[in-house]
Amino acid sequence: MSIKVNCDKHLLLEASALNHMPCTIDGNEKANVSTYFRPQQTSQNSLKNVLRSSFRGRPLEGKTINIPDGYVGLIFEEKRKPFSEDEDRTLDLTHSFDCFQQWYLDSQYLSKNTVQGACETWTRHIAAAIHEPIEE
Amino acid sequence: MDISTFLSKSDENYKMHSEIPDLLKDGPCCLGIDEAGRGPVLGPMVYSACFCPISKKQDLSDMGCDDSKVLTEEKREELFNTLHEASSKFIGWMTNILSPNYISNSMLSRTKYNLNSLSHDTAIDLIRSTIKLGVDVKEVFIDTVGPPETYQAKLKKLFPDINICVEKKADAKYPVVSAASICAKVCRDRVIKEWVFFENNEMDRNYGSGYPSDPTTKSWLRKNVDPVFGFPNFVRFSWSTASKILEDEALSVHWPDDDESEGDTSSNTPAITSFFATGAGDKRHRFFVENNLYTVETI
Repeated sequence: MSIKVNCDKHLLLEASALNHMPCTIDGNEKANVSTYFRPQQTSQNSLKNVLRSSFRGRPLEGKTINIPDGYVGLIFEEKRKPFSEDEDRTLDLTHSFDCFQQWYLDSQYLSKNTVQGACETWTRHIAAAIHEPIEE
Repeated sequence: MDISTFLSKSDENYKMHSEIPDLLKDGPCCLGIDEAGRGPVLGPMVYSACFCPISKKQDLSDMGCDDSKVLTEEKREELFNTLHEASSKFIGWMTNILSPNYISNSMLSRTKYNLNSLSHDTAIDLIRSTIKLGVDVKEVFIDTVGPPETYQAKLKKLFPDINICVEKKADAKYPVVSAASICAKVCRDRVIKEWVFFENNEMDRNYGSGYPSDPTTKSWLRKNVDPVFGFPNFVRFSWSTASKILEDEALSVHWPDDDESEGDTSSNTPAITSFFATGAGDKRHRFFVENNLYTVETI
């Protein structure tokens, strides 16, 4: 099996309002995000850039995570799911993004800061080191 | 009573109060607290405090303040208007609308904040805020559904200089509590009637009384499920009536603290076979484990 990635830059759209949720939703369909999901800026000034929202009645705290300089966030779509593991797969590039909202259940301080940690460690410390050409 | 601010920001609570006549600042006052809409799965829970000089208690009973549940809606509206007019002379009120979103969020946070503590804290806040406005509060009467003794002791500790009386059915016994009960009920009825659905401004408004036992309410809930988000913010997600419907009609959702909430202690005991394992475990370097870095093997 091989994976083919289509990167047609002319078709690339800028993604608006990406939300990374702290829960798994057993579905993969269109969601009425703007009608049901209404993040609010917190009233406490001490917590700048912190948003509050709710999902299914549970309290969420959100933080904007910026994609580090020199990187770009990309969204791919697989238009046709493979029937077997041996089949070739094709991914089409659809959107790009430079930030997303990371949501935590209740509070960021009560949750594992998984995404932000991984994102920063990888891009700041490792990726460049292992991918840069070695000069003699 | 202007509820338009609340209706335009119905995810949050909203506290408002009447004008405070000088008479309430100059002499000892009594204050009654009651709530409306504790049971329903729809809409806010409204908490009201009503206060007047102790010397004017009789005027309140003369006005016909009685248990709000036995009064018709029209009679309640009428009494509220009388109360409101009197507020320029000798009566004041303060109301806190607890939004259904706030109730759900509190009850469904990681550390559950139950409805009783929430009610107590709201009542305490109403007393504090009234005192802050300059009202000379000397007697407090509160209607409660839970055990009155522990609640009364809790309040006595917080307000040692005030006579506190917590009783079941206080709204039928003390006119000042009846007046508070009227304020709360009138406010909740208006909110329910004028609720603005941000999710859909043509939402079907035939939602019945809002009580879980009401078949109209149940069928409205069933008809208005969004597969991803569940319900509009008018619904208290923390009520079992609501969560059971979502189990059947909406996509299932899994949270990081799902296992904790089950409180199953037996799963904490490791399987006996685990004691015979080689102890290989996670062979990846600590750096990758601690930074949550994984190799992507499947898409």
